[in-house]
Amino acid sequence: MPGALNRHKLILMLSLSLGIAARAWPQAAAQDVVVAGLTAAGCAACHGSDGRGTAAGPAITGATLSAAAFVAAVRSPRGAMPAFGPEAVSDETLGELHTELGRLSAPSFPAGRVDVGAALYESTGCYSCHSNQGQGGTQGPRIGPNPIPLTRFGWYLRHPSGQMPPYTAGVLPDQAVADIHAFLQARLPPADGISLLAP
Amino acid sequence: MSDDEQGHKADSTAASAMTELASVPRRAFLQTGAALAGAALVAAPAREAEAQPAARDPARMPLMTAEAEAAPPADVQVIGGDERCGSDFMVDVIKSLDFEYICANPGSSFRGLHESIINYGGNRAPELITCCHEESSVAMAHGYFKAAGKPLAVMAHGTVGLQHAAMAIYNAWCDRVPVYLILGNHSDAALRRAAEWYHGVQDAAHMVRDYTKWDDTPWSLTHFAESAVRGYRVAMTPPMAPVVLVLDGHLQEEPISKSSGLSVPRLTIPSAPQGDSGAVDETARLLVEAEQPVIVTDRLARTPAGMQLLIELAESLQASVIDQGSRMNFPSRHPLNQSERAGTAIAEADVILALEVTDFWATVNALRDQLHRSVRRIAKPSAKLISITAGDLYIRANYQDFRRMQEVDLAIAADGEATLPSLIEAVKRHTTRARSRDFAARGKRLAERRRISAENARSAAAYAWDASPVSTARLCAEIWNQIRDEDWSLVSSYYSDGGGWPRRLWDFDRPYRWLGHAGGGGIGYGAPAAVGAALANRGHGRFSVAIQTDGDLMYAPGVLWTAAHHQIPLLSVMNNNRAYHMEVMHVQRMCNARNRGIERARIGSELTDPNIDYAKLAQSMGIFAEGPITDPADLGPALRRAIAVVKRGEPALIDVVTQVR
Repeated sequence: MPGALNRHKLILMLSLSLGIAARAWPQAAAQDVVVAGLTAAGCAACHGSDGRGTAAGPAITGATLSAAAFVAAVRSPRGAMPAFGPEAVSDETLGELHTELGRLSAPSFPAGRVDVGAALYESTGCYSCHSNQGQGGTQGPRIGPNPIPLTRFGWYLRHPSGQMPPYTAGVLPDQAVADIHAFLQARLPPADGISLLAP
Repeated sequence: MSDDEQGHKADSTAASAMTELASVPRRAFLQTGAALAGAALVAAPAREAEAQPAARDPARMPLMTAEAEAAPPADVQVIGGDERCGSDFMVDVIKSLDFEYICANPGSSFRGLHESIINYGGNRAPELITCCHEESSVAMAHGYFKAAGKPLAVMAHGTVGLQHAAMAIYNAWCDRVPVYLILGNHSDAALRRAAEWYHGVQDAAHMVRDYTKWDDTPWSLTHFAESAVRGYRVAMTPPMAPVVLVLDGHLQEEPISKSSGLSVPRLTIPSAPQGDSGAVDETARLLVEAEQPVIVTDRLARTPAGMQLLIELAESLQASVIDQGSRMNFPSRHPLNQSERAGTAIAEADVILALEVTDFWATVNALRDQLHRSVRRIAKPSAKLISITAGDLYIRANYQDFRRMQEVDLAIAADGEATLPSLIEAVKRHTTRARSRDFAARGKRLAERRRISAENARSAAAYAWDASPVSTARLCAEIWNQIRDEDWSLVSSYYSDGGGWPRRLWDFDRPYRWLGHAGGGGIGYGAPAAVGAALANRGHGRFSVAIQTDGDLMYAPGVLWTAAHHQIPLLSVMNNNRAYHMEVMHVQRMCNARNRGIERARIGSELTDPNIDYAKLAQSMGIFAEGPITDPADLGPALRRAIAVVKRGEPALIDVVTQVR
């Protein structure tokens, strides 16, 4: 784990590595800032030095999370990601990273089709663990409606943690991933006030 | 059709002739067993030999001689007025053991005992329950025990019947449930009819010895009496398990004098072993000093007292309880029940007490079932682990039901339930006022977490509420709505467990509300165990309900006929996902790991094309049934109609096409 990182250190490291004056920071390309920042903060080991993901962690480029949610995800992550406290990376630095990552494009997926996704959801076995409407069960969590963002969804299918089996692009192309995501996104929220479920 | 149809066609007149020739001395032999291995008795002390003169009687030759075989058939005879049969005495012994029922698919190797039960014994205590498969007989006994708290006897052929029964015996063994198996066999080859050669075996119990606790093959009625009572004691002493008695056909059928003087040994069940007092005190000290103690329990409550004792222990400590569900250990809505957040509770724990937990390793570790398997410990490395289990008192080789070994800080080899009173007393002794205040604060926190878990469960159940196929949450909510005011008992929910919804939504507040699982993971347990448990519940006026999976029912659906024939009230609600769905998931996992696509993963595991009509199946056996129901709106009214039938004392089945889990 690197030592505490703040913006000053980040700029300094980036300047040294790029051979530019620190005061030239505002003009530095977002990509370069990200490379230096993610490497220094220890994020690159899993998310890649360009933030576009590896087998160990999803892409974090693009404005997929709010700044607050981004910080929260670093401080109290879910899944296999270790927590990074303020002693490792400051809120200020995380804010900068969030800004710069947001300037980069998120991984792109084709537009999803709900009806095709419905058929794929069954034929590719998603229903086995997550139940027919994505509501979850004993073998898998609820994944619809309001699934996680498509980029993270797609990455997780390729590189799942826990018991979920992996789906490579060979058996589930990006188009199919987008279709299934669209199907999950279209699931209806539950009705309120179901009398049989009263306490 | 019985296994021994062929045997009924062939009757041996030679056997009758030989029986006549040697009947008197053989009767003495059968009664006393004195001539077992006659050669050995020649060397016996004189006084013993004098006490058993039959041993030296020259007429006590082997029954099958050339002379005997050449003799003409004797007149057909019946037993004399001063005689009865060996199996009559066997019934005397069996009655002394207080069996209410004895299950059997009929077989010639125990025809003598069969006849004695229904005529000499009056077909009462035990009453013969007609089964269509030996696996059903044993699984009924399995379910019956967990509802009644006492064993049910089973008769079967020593060969083909036992082979049918073997899977169910293994389930009972793994579940530490006593089943009292009586096997028929013809040991004397010279007396066998044609089919009895197929049904004869030198060592009948050998086939199941790896997963039974004890067996014996009595050679005399005195030997039988002692082994019958001993077998009951062995089966009922923790750790409980099935036992086997092999009864020679001739021993059953040979007449004996009514004045034979045979006696029935008195039954005394040994008290269950309690934990060492020093170890129990140390356990209490660790629990009292812990900040986040967790009690994990699986097969703890073997009597109705078990639940109350666990409540007292948990409340004394205000500790988390995780009920893994092989018995009805702890009320589902108790504020300290943290089963819904078990992983978190284990991860936070500083002391974990495992009470009759079969798989402690999997409780504190997680195995990732991927192409490259990996393990991670869930519990803190510093957490103190304590186990109390009768499993440490008895372990067998070969079958691996003992699971992976978990390193622990303190292992108490004892029965969990029997140890609880002393543990509770020690906990109270160690608890100071200051700790009591700490406990109270902890209890409030846990109650709030339990409340949130329950709220989350209700919220989760609302998703896909109106979907078709019916969601398992909707299925269980509809059942609960109909039975909540009955004195209900969920007798089986195997293998899919209704998606776990009963324990999340229902109020399991009494020891008979839930009876646990199959034990060994052998499918085919659910339906017969439910009928067996419903048979036990019938005597208590309880309303039995089973969430019946389709794959399980198809193993031996004839048990539905048994329920109808014997008027066993049971509501079976199908969790019909039209597949052996767990296997679909396993094959799917392989498809994914091998990167071949999963479109074919359901081949070999689906039960479709054609779909099975379970309502018609049940109706064909005389059971009220409706379905298949695919619209969840139809479920409530159908359940009401079925419940009315069950409350009249009959079984009923509702087939519901459900989602997978």
